[in-house]
Parts: sequence; structure tokens; C-alpha cells
Amino acid sequence: MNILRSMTQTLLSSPTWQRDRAELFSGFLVGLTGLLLNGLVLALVCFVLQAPPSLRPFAQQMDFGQLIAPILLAAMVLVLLVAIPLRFTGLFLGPRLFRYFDQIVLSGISPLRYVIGGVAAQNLYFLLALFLLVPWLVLAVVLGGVHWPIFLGNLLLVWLFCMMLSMLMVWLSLYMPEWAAFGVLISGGLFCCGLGAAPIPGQPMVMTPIPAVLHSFFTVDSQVAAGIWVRSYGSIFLSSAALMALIFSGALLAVHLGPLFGLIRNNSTFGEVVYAGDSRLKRRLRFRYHIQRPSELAFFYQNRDSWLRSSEGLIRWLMVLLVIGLPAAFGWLSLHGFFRAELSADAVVAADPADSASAINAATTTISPEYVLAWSVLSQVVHGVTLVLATILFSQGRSTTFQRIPWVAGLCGRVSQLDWAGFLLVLISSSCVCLAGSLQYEDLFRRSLSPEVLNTAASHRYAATFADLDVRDFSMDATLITSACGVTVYLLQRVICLGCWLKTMAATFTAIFWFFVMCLIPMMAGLFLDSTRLGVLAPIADWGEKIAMLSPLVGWLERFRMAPMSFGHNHSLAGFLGLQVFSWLMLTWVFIRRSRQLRSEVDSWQVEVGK
Amino acid sequence: MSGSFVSLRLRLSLLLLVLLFAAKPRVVSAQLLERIPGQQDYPGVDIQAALGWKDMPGNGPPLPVSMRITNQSADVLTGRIVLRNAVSGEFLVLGEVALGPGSVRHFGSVVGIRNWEQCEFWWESAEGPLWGRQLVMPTGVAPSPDPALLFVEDSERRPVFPALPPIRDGRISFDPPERPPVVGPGEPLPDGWISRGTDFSTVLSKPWQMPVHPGPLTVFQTVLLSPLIRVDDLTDRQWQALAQWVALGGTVLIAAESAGVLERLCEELPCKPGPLNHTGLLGIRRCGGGTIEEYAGAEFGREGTAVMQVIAELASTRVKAPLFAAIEEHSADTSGLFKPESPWSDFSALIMMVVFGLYAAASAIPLLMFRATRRRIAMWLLSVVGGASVAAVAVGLVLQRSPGDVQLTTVTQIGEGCLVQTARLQLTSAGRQSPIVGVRGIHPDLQVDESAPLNVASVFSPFGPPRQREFHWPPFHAAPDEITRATERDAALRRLRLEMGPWNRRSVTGVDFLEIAGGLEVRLRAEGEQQESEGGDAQFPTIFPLTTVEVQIQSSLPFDLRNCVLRAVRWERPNISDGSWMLYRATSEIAENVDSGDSGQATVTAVVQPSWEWIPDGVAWSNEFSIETERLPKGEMEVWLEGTLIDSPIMKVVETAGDFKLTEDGRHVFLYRIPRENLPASWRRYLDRGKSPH
Repeated sequence: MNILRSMTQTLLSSPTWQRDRAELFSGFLVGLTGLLLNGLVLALVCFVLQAPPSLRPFAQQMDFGQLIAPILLAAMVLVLLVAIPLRFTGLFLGPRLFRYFDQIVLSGISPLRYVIGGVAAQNLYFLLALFLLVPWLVLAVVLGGVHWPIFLGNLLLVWLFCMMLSMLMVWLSLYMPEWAAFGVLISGGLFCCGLGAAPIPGQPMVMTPIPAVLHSFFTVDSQVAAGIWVRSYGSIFLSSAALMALIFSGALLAVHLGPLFGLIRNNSTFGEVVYAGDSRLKRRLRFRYHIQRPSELAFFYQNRDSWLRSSEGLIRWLMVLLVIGLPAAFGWLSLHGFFRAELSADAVVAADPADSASAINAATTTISPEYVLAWSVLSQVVHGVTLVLATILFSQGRSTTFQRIPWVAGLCGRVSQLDWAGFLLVLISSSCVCLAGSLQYEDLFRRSLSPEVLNTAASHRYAATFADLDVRDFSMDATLITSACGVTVYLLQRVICLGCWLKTMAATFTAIFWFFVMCLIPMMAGLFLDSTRLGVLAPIADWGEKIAMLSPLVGWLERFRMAPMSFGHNHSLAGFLGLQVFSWLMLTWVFIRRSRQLRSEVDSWQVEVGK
Repeated sequence: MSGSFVSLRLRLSLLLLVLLFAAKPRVVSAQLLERIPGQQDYPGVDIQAALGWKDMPGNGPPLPVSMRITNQSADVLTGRIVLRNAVSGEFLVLGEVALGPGSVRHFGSVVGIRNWEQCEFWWESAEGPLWGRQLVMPTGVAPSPDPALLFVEDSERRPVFPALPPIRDGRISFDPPERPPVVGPGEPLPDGWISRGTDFSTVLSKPWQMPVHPGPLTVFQTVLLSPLIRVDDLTDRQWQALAQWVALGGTVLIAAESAGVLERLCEELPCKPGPLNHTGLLGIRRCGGGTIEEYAGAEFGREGTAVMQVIAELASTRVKAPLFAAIEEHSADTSGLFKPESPWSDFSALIMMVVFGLYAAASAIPLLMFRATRRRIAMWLLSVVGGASVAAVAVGLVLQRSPGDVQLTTVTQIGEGCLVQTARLQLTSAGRQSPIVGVRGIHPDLQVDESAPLNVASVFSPFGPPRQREFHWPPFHAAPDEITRATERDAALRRLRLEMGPWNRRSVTGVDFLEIAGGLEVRLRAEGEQQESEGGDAQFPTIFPLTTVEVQIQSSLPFDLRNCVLRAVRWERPNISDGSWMLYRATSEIAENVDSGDSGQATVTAVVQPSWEWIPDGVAWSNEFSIETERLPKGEMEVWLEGTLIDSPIMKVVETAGDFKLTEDGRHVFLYRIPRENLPASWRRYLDRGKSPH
């Protein structure tokens, strides 16, 4: 009871709660919500009344209530998706713009208490939107047909979505300016809602209530759902509720822990950042304004309470691993699922046709070389995207890299060490999964690329391309190239991060440098030499392919048999690997050299502050 | 020792016998249908079930569902028959079936399923499933648009038809006799040889598979009843369906020796058949839009006999019945893309949109109240939402009472002894749930269309057909409780409850027959022809005679005809060297009005010069000629009198018996096919060039 009372007290005493409650009945908010919500419902009703013939089977089998209930809830979801991020755009921007953020920080209020009031106030906004829909609900009740248990279930999901959206917006606002968070959240939300409305087998996009709201459409007519697996309403409701609650909890935890942004000598004064040479730049180009916001938030997070602080490092890194691991797992499972589904349809089945697993493993089964190629390319894409995510998330700006944070049970460690460990873990895991996936189908690929199969009518156009291909090398080399590039890019990112305050900026520099210097220049130079007719360059023309092979782009293309026709097959990767190892050594040397200097600065300042 | 060995042998033999008897029904049913994994049959129950016609398309026409249920158990079994699509979860309840111990029962229905990947058949009691099997889905693509013949067999044998006589160089020559080329199925004929008519396909059916509604039979032009078929082989509903299909324009071939079968069929006809006329080897009776033809059953089935030759030629040259294609052509919204006139529905939708549009505008007014206090804004919001809620109640009550709109289009064919009418009701609902439409006729048969709406691309594509023209009944689910009589006393009134959402559109197809005493007679005479003789020394003309024609119409119909036109259409091969066919069509206006007046008689004479327009085969599908190219077999000709009626003579919408009001944009068309014997003699001789001497 005391906990409940203290939580209520925390919510009601939050300045954002009081501010939002006061603004709820402003003319702008009420009018805009009424206009958006009722206009959208009216537009959707008009669309359904004038339904094109292809949508008519939906409408003709549904009562008005059945039809209008999803329309009302879908309109509510879309309005909330726009209005809630919009309402949070002043969360930190307002106090910073009107110069009273320092007072908030100095008041000692914890960041969670500050923001949670705004999140709780969205319940009032949700009720306002629901109140505006009352006349529509009355019409649906009079005409009949509303399935109330499903309507109430969907309404609960919409409320959960409202809460999740609020918490996500707060979380994103800690890492980027509110306008950027607003754009990211709306575009991401619209993308998820769009996919949620699509007839996807099993409908995995349950992070919005749209699949549950539109579920009745998919079950009323088989034309849309023909051939796809439509889950039951209960299953979609439970998975939606669980996932949205999970995202809300994760975001709540992340908001409690806050962004990892260190305070060093240069930004150790609230509202000021000393950045050498910045004053000589024009005002709009001055870099310190970009650093000021995270620095002020870092000051604000000095006010947070000690809950979970002793295991902060472990929690942060587990969350980062989760953020990397979930999309990667989704990617690998989708790739395997689609591949096996295509295989069972395409494979020349020697065993039982009804059993796709035995069909794929049958000793005489073969598939089109297109599938071998598609699998190899897509698996490298998933592996590469995983490494890129790990590179960005396991690197920190210069103020944070050597910050000491409690790892577990008060045991402290540097952020940099945890980043190395995290990246290595992801690199090894992703490479192993990529290799294991390819080795799983090795026999099938070997049979499918054998001369007997390639000489058949269906696959003869691939005969010349895949004639001398070793399947094992094919998979392993591609994975080796991707993993080696991952290491190079990570080292490059870590080195550049030592000079940058923001890791997003460091990532941009890294991408530009890696693409132009490591990929494009060797490729262009090599291809130019390979195809040149200049007499001066004739003696070194044979070096063209070797120089081009220094580029990972050419390495992938050559291994996937997509390189220019003049290129020979099965080039050695020695040159490429040599260049990568050389880069690693150089970057490590630079990193060690620069990190010593920075670490001593950080340590000396911390000692000074400690004093 | 020996005794025990004999005893063992006896026991083994007995065991074997028991196993044989026990296993036999299961083996038979397993050969027919695939067992659903995990399904356990009720002991003693065996069902033979079939969906649609083998080798015929399953996505389009209504499909018959037929089953023969045998209950060898000692229990009385009751359950409902359900078809289920396990992939999408859809299901259709066809009805309840109760079966006593040791009894056999036939059950049939019609379904209009589309886009079903698979279909499971279940007989389910309250305790659980009694029997379930995976039905074989009809997935054939042939024979549409070619004519098809349905052979209702007595056993497993299949009739063997001889090759059809060919036309060579535009003329048939029997003297000296030319042997038809021997070609296998699907092989092309040698250059210069083109068969008369169109290749037809034969579909086999057991008597128990015959549908209980004429709808599924409309995909066929001809039904051939085996000479060994008995009256008891078909149920009353099956005979009724066959008879109605004949009156709609079908041709049924019955062995002359099967007098009982003929009598049974005639009992169920909606009108009295015409007199028996003998033409060659066939005895022909006209009835409504179709014919009953008698053949010599003794010679049936023997290869090379004249009877088989005649049956083959008849099936090959049979013209498709025009009623359903005509209703597609004349109803205003065949594509489903354009809304038919719907003033009541539009009005109710407008009321709703205006009320809620005003509410949306009023709810946005606080945007302008930037100087107002919070209390004032809250008061405004409360009053707007409260007022809109009261208005919503009023709108809901108005919508519940507002009628929908129905557009009635009819096509009435003047046939032998009766009028045959097809009607298309295009219904646009208002806000009412499950509205009812009331139709009065003689015995109207109304079915809700389950056709898939066309997509925009196929309708507006220059390569696609401009309109949806099907020659068969649109797909429908024949639910036993769907059609109810309004009262016991008023048997002519049907009330149909429609499952449709608000402001939606559905289409209902109806068929009815009206027996009439009088009729219509139209005679055509070519200018200069004095005698209508066919024999003598008259020559078979090699080109079509382009003469002026005198048209004489004698009407004793109970209604007046308007805007009568003569429509003639024929296939011809004018250029012998390249062997291509041309479709020739002529439309000539005859008379504005043919009024029967007080005397009930009308006579109109007109002289017309048919102006023939033509289009090559292969191009005709893409324009308005398409209906004729698909309907008419090669080498054939048809002449029709077509016009409009002021009102529908049979089926009428009863506004007081339903929730729909009749709109004024419906059309009522009449059709009369001029019999061949009433055409000019020179035309008949030209058409008879390719006929066999039988």
C-alpha cells in the first residue's frame, strides 16, 4: 500500500504531469485532436462506403458495428502515433530553450520522476481521444454488430501502445534531439503499422495493435487470407500485449539508467563545453552546441537514484546485446524459414513430397543455383548488418570511452574493455552462425552446383559461372571477408571515436573512410589497370586483378561469381587479408598511442574531481 | 491331427471371409477420397462424395456437391454436412442429415466456392465427426468455351463418338465420298480440313452425382442419358433440376425406348412440351428454350453407328443458351465497378456523412478558442460530444428504417409453351442489418451471387474482355433455409434475407417460368423466293445469299413488344486458301412497337436489307462481338428477334415485402430465337452444306 502511495505521489508531484494536465484542455490540443481523429474516421468510413470491388467481400460480410469498431481503433492508433511524440517534443527542449533546465537539474529531481509524469499524462490524452469517439460508438451501438469483448481487448492494446509510444519517445529523446526522435518514432511506427496491416503469414509485427484490430478482416474473407497462416485472435492479443509490455519495461529501465555520456574536463561545467578552435567557427557550425545537450543530460543523470546502479555495466551490455541479438535472430530465422519454404516448393523431391525436411535432406535433391547464390548473399547481408550494429553500439565518444562504471556488485571497469568484449562476442557468434548455416546446406549446394546438374536445361546458363566452384570455400571465404571487414571497421571506428564526442559522427567518418579508401580506391585502380590499353601501364597490367582483389567489394563479387567477365575465378585472398592485418596493426598502434594520452587526461581529471 | 488341421483351415477361411467383407467398403472409399489425418470414421458409415465435375473448371460456375451415405451401423445417426477449407478456416453448412440403421440416402447441394485450395467434407454429429474426407477439387480448364456434353452413365462405360464430317474448301462433298482424316486427340487436322462445329468434351456422371438444382448444369449444352438409366436412379429434386435446365435452353438426349424416363422428365417440366417432330434419326420436342431429343437406344454405344454420329454432331454444333450471358450484358453494372442508381442508399449515407462531418467540424472549433478558458473549452467539448451522441442515436434510428435500392433487369425468352425469364437484382443496402428482398413471380428461384468482383485492370485492359460474360448461372451457395415463402397462402412470393453490410452491393440472380397459351411466330422470306422447298434440284450455294428479307411477326403474347430488331450472326470461311473464319453479324430494325391491343393479336410485316459487318476469328474476343464468338459454334448461324418490354412479365420486386425500393434504371429485354424452318430457304440450304446425310 505504501509503495502504491509513494508511486502515486511520485507521479502526481512530477512537473511534467502537472504541465501536461494543465495543457490538456488547451484549445489547440482539443481542436487538433478532434479534427485529426474525426476527420480520419470520416475518411475511413467514406473509403469503406466507396470500397473498390476488390475490398467489397470484406464489407459485404460484416455488420456496421464490426466494420466501424476496427476503423475507430485504427484511427485512434494513427492519431496517437502522431500526437504522442508531438506532445513530447518539449520534454527537454522546453526547459533548455527557456533556460530553466539548470534549475530542474539543481532541484535534485531524479530523471525518471521528471519524465514519468509526462508518460502518465498520456492516459488523460488517451481518455480525451476516446471521449471524442463517443458519438461514433453510439452509432455503432444503435446499428448493432460490435463484438464487445474483442473491442475491449483491442482498446486495451491501444492503451498499451499509447504507453509504449510515450516511453519509447522519452528513451529516444535521451539519445537524440526531440525533433529527430519524433521523426524516427513516427516513421518506425508507420512502417510497423503498415506491415501489421499486410497479410503476412503468422503476422509477426505485433509491436502495434494493428494486427489485432484488423484481425476480423483477415478471418472474414478467405480471398486475402488465402494460402497464408492466420493466427487466432487470442494468440495475436497475447503476443501483442506481451511484446508491448516488454518494450515498455525495457524503455523504462533504459530511461532509469540513462544515456552513457561521460563528463570530462572539457564539459565539466553545466551549460558550457570547451572545444578547442570552436569559437573561430561561424555560430551555426560551432560543435559545442551539439555536445551541450548530452552533457547537460549527463549532469541531469547525476541525480538518479542508486537502484540497479551497482550492476549498471552488466545491464547496459546485456541490453545492447539484446538490441543486436533480436534483429539478428529475426533475420537468421526469417532467412532459414523463407529458404526452406522455397526449397520444399522448388526442390526436385526424391523422398516424401509432403515432408519438406526430408525432401531437402534427400540425397538426390537439387535446387536451382539461383537459390544457392541468394542464400549466400543474404546470409552475408545479415552477418554484415549485425557487425555494423555491433560497431555502432559497442563504441563510445571520447568523453565516455575510458569512463569507469560499476560492472557487477560494485566491481568497476572501463567502458572500453566492455566494448571490446561485447564486439568480440558478437563477431564470433555471428561468424559461427553464418558458417554453420552455410555448412548445414553444404551437401545440397554441392549437388546443386555439380556439373551434372549445371549441364541440365534448367541450369545451363550457370554452367560457365559455377563450373569450378568449391562450395566450402565459397561459404567460408565470403564469411571471412565479411568478418575481417567487421574487425577493420570496428578498429577504425574506435580510433575515430577517440577524437569525436559523438559516436554517430564517428560512424559517419568511419563509413566514408572505409568505403572510399578501403573499398573504392583499390577496386577502381585495379579495374582500370586490368582494362587499360595504355602502353605505359602495360607491364603492370597483370597486377590489376590483384590490386582490385584488395577491395572487399571485389572479393565478395568474385566469390559470388558476379565479378567482370575478364576476371579469373578463385583468386587468392592473401592480398586482401594481408592488407586487413596490416590495417589492424596500424589502427591498434594508433589506438594504443592515442588512448594512453586520453586516459591519462581522464584519470587526472577524475583524481582532481575526487579530491 | 487331421481333424484339427481341417478345423484350422475352416477357421482361417472364415477369418479371411470376415476380413474380406469387413475390408471391402473401406478399400472402395479409400480409392475415391483421401483420408484426413487423425480422422476416425464412425463404424459402419460409408459415404461416396463428389464435388463439381471432373475435368471442368471449378472456379466460376456453381458446383454440385453430391453424396451417397450408407449407414450399416445399428444406430440412428444425425449430423450436419459441412464443407471446410482447412487452409483459410472457411466453412459452409449444407444441411442436416438423419439416417436410420441399414439405410442409404442421397444428399445434394450446390456451392459457389472460389479460391479454395482444398475442401474437406465432414458429417458431424453433436458428439463429434462421424465421417470426414478430403474432396478432390475440380481444377480442370477445359472445355470452356467449347460445348460440353454430360453423359449420365449407368455403368463405367464411356460412349465412343466417331470423327465428325469435315468441310473442305468451304463445301461439303459426299459424292465422291471423302474419308475424314484419321487424327488422334489434340492433333491438328491436315491443311484444308476444318471440322464443322467445335470440338466437344464429354463429362461422365453417376446418377447420384446429378445436381439438385439446374445451376450446375448450365455449364453444359447437352445432357445424354444412358439408355439403361431408370426412373428411380434420380431423385425428384434431380429430375426437377434436369427439367428446369431443359426449359432454360438445354438439350437432353433420351433413348426412345425409355418411355418411363421421358414421361418422368415431362412431368417435371415447367410447361407443356411441344409436339414430337422427327428429323433424321432424332425425335425432337421443344420445351421452353430447350429441346428433348429421342435417339434409338438399341444402337447406342456401338462404334460407327449412325446414332453416335448424329449425337456427336448435335453436341458439336449446339449453341450455348443465351439467357445468362444476356442478363450479364443488359444489367447496368456487370463489371461491379460502377454503382447502379441508388437514391435511397445514397440519401441515408449522406445523412450520416453530414451529421458526422458537422461533428468533426464542431470538434475542431476549439482550435479557434485560443482566448477561451479551460472551463469554457471543456464545456464546449462536452456539449459537442453530447449533442453528437444524441444525433448519432437519431441517425442510427433513421438508418435502421431506411430502405435500400434494387435495380431489376430481366431477360425474357419466348420459348415453346412458356416464357423463360432470368432476372438480375442489383441490391444496394442502406444501414439496415441483413435486409430482405421480396420478389413475386410464379415459382421464382432466387440465388445470391458469389461471383468474385472483377479488378479494374482486367476490365479496362484492351486485351481483356470488356464485360464479364458467363454462359452459366453465377456461383451461389444453395442454403436450404435461405429462401422462405412469405406466407403459406402466397406461394408466388419469395423473401430472401441477404447477409450484407451497410451501403454495400450484392447481386441476386433469379429464374422463373410462365406457361402461356399463345406465342410469337416470326417468318423470314428472301426476296424472290416463292416456294420454301428444300428438296428437288435446289443447289447448295457456295456463298451466303445477300438478299432483302421480308419479316413477318405474328404475336399473341400478353404484353407489347418495343424496339424490335432482327439479329443474325453466322460463322463463315470466305477465304478458302488461308482457312480462317470470319464472324458475320447483322442488326436490322424491324418495328418500334408490336402492340397486341384488345384483340390480343398483332401482325407486323417489314422488309429489311441486312447489312453484314464482320470480324476475323481471334480478334473477336476483344470487342463486343465476343459474346457471339463464344456462343456460336463454327459454321453455324442463328437469327434472333430482340426488343424491350415496358415491365417484367414474370418476376417483380414487392417493395412492401422487403427492405428495398425499386429504382427506375432497370431494363426488361425479350429474346425470341427464330426456328430454322422459318428462315429463308436459300439460307437454310447454305447452312446445310456441311451436314451429314443422316
